Amino acid sequence: MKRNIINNCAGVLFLLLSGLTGFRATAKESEKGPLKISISYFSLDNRLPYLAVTAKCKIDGKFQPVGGASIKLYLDKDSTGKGIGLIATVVTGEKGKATADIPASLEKIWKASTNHTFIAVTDKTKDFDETNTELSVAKARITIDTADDKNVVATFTEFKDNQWVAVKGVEIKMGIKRLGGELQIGEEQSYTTDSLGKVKGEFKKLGMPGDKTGNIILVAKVEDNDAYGSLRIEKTVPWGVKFTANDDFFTRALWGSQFHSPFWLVFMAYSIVIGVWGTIIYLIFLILKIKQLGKEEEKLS
Amino acid sequence: MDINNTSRKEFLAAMVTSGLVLAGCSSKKTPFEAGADELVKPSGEKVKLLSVDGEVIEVDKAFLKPVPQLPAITNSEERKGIPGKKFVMVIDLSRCKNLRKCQQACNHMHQVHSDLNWLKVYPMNEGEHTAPYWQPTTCMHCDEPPCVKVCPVDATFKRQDGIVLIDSDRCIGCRFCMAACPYSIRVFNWEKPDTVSEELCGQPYSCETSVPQKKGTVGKCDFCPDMARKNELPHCVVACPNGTFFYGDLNEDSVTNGAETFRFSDLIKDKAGYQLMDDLGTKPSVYYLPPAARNFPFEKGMEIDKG
Amino acid sequence: MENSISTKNDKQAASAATFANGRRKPDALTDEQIISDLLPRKFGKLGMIWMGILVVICMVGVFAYFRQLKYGLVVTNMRDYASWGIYISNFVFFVAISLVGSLITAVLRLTGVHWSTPLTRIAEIIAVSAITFAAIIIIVDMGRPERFYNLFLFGRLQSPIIWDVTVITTYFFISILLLYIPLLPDMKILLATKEKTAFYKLYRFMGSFWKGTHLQFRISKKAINILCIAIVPVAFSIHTVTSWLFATTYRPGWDSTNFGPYFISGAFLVGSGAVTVAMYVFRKYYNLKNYITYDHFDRMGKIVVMLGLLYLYFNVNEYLIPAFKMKKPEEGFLDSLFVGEFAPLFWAAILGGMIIPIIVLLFKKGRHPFPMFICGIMIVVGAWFKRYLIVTPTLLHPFLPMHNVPASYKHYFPSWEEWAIAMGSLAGALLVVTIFARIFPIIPIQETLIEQHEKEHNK
Repeated sequence: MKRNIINNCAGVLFLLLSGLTGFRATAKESEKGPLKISISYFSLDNRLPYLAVTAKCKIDGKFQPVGGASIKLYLDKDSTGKGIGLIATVVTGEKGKATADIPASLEKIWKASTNHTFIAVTDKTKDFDETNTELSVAKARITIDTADDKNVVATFTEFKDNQWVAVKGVEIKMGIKRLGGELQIGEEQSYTTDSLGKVKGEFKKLGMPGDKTGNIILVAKVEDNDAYGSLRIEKTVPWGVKFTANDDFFTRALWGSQFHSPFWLVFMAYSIVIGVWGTIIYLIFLILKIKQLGKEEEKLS
Repeated sequence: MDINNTSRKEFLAAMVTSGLVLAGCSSKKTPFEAGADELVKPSGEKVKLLSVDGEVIEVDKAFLKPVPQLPAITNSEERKGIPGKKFVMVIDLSRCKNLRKCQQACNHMHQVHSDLNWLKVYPMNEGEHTAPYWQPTTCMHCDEPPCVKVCPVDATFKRQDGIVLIDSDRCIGCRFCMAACPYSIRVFNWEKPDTVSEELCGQPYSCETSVPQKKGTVGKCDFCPDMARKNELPHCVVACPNGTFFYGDLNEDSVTNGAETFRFSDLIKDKAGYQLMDDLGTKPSVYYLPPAARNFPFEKGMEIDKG
Repeated sequence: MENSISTKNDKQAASAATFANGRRKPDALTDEQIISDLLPRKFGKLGMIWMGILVVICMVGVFAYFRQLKYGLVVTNMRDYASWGIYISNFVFFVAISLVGSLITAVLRLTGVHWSTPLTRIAEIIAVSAITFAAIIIIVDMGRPERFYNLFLFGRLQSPIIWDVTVITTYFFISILLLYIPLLPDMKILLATKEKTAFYKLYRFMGSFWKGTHLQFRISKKAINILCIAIVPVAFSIHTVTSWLFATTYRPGWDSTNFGPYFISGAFLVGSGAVTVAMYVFRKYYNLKNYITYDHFDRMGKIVVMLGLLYLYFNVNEYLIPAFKMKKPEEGFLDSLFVGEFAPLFWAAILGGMIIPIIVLLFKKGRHPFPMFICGIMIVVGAWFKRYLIVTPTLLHPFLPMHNVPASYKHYFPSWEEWAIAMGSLAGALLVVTIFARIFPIIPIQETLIEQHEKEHNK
């Protein structure tokens, strides 16, 4: 079933799927643990923040996603009932996941601090007790720079005392953007920032195919950092090999489509068909001739 | 605000359709972002959201709006495929222990009839004194597909991105393709699939999602091009807890199982990748890495195997 | 009418006595005698029972097909591995048997063999009815028969199925022509009979324009000659292309360059077997002892032996050579045929359908009508099962193991619906032949007369 995103809450919220693990979670009455909610914070391109929540519970000793769980998300204060600081109410999808953007109405609260706490609250339901989960993140930024010698530098800073301050000891991954993931630029899986908040990696994936002009997209990202959440930035560099898709795909072949049969086949088939059916038509003509003769004979007699 | 409007749209669009795989605000479009962009048309209705810096930004609703099915790609587009792509899969036999999570995910997402499996895990043993191993087998998406050669009505076809798909709205159910496929991966809907949900039943068939499956037509692994369009991985790849399946684009020279990403050419070279029954001249798009240095003993998989 | 038949039978009996049980040629027969002997007759009691049985079998088949339309191909026992079953083997059987039209009519006509004249129409009607039911059974096998028109909308020239559809259609029309044109002179005779039968209008419609003028005879002779030449390559194509439905795949047992000639030789054998059976039946129940003689059986028997040996030769090629190499994918397949689950059927088909009939027919006494009839039945039944053995065991021996499927997917035995439909189609084909023999003379009257005159002239 690929009906994976379900609308909710005036089009602001949406559910995503990824990471499927199990499906028939709620089918039978078996041993169920308490509902576990986890929150992740994402910052894309230092611009758009959003939250992803996952609901799961232990069934027969294994974590299974819980779909259809209604989760209220708050910013900073748990203002239950009053609606202040409410980011959104989301319902988890089949994979137990849901995401929410930060609505414009929370501008004041968002600007008031550089550290934010996200609170996820669920009410008591038939299956589960109420839960309350929190996640605190500090406002941070990741940048990516490249030099001609094919070195990639990523800088990680956080917003402290009204200025951007370098952070040491943050694990950053650097890679080339590819379908479904990133291919690391060098041998190292990840890099840790120095006191200047910088990591430096050498681009070793020479000869990677890029786009038509040889561009590839570099990605620097922080994943699930306890203090800062997940951040990600991209940069396009001309370090790839020019790639031109061969457009001779739709040639004539035995596996080609209806209108792409090989010429030799078309020629053979049609010459045989025309030859044989020409003969048949000629034979029908002969029958008609016999008929004609018969009619003439009738007239004579 | 307006300066960045285009790029914002772009990254939002990509984000919406790409789940947790985050896309950025690069000015250069990658094929996937371009694909995503084409799929979603701005509605004109804006939604106000907060940026990291606390600015209020306006985003077109259409880019956030959930899309229950893939937005209408015409049948002729589905038949052409995604330009510039050549999808491949690498299956690392040393990692498989016949957990069948791939199979469950695949069956579930494609609503395959409960008797059938699009993805099969075979207990393989070549000779008397050779070691057995588990071999997950998907459609090979051959470059010389014997099934496509024999189809009388173009119901199964090869696309420029290498994927072989089935148009269940056209299939006449002659099953010649099943006889022609040496990998026996094609299945037939002998009856109305018992797993198709009511809501999906009436929906139009899409070659890319392969749902809803229809009585009297052939079905098979479709390499999940609908997921690829969203820059996501096929269901089997995501479902495997051992990272057995790697999926990627040969034109990007990279494959990934979600957690690890390898340069395709390096992986095949380092681990001596091979193709299944390549002696038949089918030129498969699926590569296998031999079951050397196994993560699990073969017997581990016997617990789950029911034949 | 009842009366007239009895008088005819009396006459028949009288002439039969005169000509020593038909062992001699009917050289003393008058034209009137020949015409009255060969005119189509109403069904007797036996005929009615025969028709009734056929109709009932057909109706059961239609009911089974109705069920299949309703519930889908799930009512069959075909599953993903054995994805083709007795529908397809039945189809191959029909195509094979239809080849006989070209054998008897065209090949023997072209080579100037005259003794085959009384057999031509039997052969042609068998060909027409078999090719018709081949087309029907292939539609029955389709999962989506209502989409048949897709073949014309989206037909891919690369697919052997499109080739098959084309050649079967072509062969059907050529066979119809070959049936129709030699029938024209007989129409005149039919129309000239005193009693107006129920089919008078049909005869008028079909052949009232045949006046038997010299020119008409000349044109029809020319047409028949062209047809006889044209039908040979087309007949070869139908069976070669049908064999390619299998040979264009990689599967053990099908992946053979021999398949075209192998199928054609098999078709010749089963076709001549079917003609032998039909000869016996028509001879007995239509009292045609003067026209289908011992001599015909004797000659036909020799032809069957020759064709049987030819088919046996191809079988040796098809099975012995792969068995000599025992390639891994072939191993399981060949084992199942030689000693495994299909062994009883396989050896029965080889022995009963080929070797025993060949041995019996080597003897002069074996070529008498009744032993010939039994041998013909053995050949036809053996051939039907041989087709089953070509289709099913291969499918049950795929390259990769049969795994991750329900246990029932690993074996194949046809369901009652499949049997009913297959038998229904066979009954349908027999019904067409029977009805044809009721309406039209099953032995060409005009040609018999001409031959008779020539014979007398030669004396």
